[in-house]
Amino acid sequence: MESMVELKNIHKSFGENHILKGVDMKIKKGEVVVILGPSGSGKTTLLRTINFLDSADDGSVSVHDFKVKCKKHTKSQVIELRRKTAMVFQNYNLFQNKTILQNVMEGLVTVKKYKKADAEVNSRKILEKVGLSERCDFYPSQLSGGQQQRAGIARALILDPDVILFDEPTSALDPELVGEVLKTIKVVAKTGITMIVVTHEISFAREVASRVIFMEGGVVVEEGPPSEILVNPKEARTQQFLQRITNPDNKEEETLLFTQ
Amino acid sequence: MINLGFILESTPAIIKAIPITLLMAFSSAIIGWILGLGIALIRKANIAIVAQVCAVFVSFMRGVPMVILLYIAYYALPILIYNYGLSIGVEIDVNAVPPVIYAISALLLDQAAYSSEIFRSALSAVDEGQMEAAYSVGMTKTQALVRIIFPQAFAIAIPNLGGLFLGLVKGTSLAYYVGVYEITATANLLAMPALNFIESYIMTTIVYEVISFIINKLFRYSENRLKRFRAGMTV
Repeated sequence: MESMVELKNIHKSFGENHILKGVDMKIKKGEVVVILGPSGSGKTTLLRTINFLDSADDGSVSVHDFKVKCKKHTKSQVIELRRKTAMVFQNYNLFQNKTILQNVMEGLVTVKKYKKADAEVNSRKILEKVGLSERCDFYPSQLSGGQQQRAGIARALILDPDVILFDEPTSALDPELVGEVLKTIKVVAKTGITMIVVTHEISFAREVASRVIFMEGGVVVEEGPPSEILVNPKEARTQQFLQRITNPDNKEEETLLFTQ
Repeated sequence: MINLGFILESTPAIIKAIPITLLMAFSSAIIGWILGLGIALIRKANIAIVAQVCAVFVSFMRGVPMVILLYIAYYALPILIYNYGLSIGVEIDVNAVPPVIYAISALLLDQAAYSSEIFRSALSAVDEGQMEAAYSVGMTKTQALVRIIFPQAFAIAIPNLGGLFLGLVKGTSLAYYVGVYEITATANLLAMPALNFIESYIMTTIVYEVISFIINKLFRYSENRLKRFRAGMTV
């Protein structure tokens, strides 16, 4: 099958800090790829290089056969690339000055040049799917984090992108709101849209991912189906990471900490 | 005692001077604030050389007394224009230009400098995620600025702009020094023959107070309109 997203040799530094050290990635149409890794491993940066919110120093990004070389990209190439993707942010980043309905309509009207009436009909349909039809005329500041994030998902979905990028979509949420957002993402995943999800939710990865990629220190350490990576990881670093996440009360480490 | 007869007699003349005060205030605010927004954007984008020139301009303008600026505009600007005209072979009649034009050009430069600082801080106060979200749905920079960033920045800027504008309205009284017969100059002129200065100043104060009150209301109204997206934040 054709690849929907293809990253080649992605390098990125912030000053002296070499964050991404040559990442290659191929994602097929309809795949749900979950990227795991400790903080500082470069997974969020990698996601942001796909739509050039951070532009990589070297390598190339292609989405649906549209290839952009990171070293010499033009403004119009970047916009074209962004129009093939959509993103769901950790802090939702809904447009504060617009209502939920307007947030979802915005991309259709400004970018896809829909007529307002058509955009509204479509937006209301999507908002109903994410369970927000009652909240159309509210401003983001009037909603809970979970509701805002579901609106964020609707704003991404409506653009009918080739791939949706999820940047730790549940990390800023209160624990009791995580469930509703994960449920929404699962529903989206079932529609067959290509998704790349950076998350710490192991159980979500297990249930939804068609592939799990484990990153550390700016490189891909290991990848494979969740049943392999999450259950029988080959690499020691993956094993350590999973152990830390699934068993945070590691007694051994605790005593180590106190004796040091 | 207070000469009520004088007050009644000269009220129409002072009221007639209100439009010239407002003309100066509004035209220099509109043009100056557009320039100020431009300066703020240039400095925020840190465009080489232009940004530095803007920074020097702002710093310079904030240090110059308004009266000096008016004098420069009134006495120096015509000479510059005249000489420029000669250099391209046209003799420009600079005396035909009404003094109010020079006053406005001085005031608007002042407004550009001060408002640019207000816009700059307002633009920085808008969360960076807003720009990223706009980019992520495929907007161009201009679309993102106009549709997402500016509305939020204006809501933040408007209380300060209101204060700046009130200062400007009162600042227009300095145009008296370059021969613009606005409210203060008119009142002074009327007071002179019979030394009715107290009456004149009382009237002038009342006129400025009323104008300030109305402007305050207008800014408060637009502030509430622009801020309606912030839950429970209406003033």
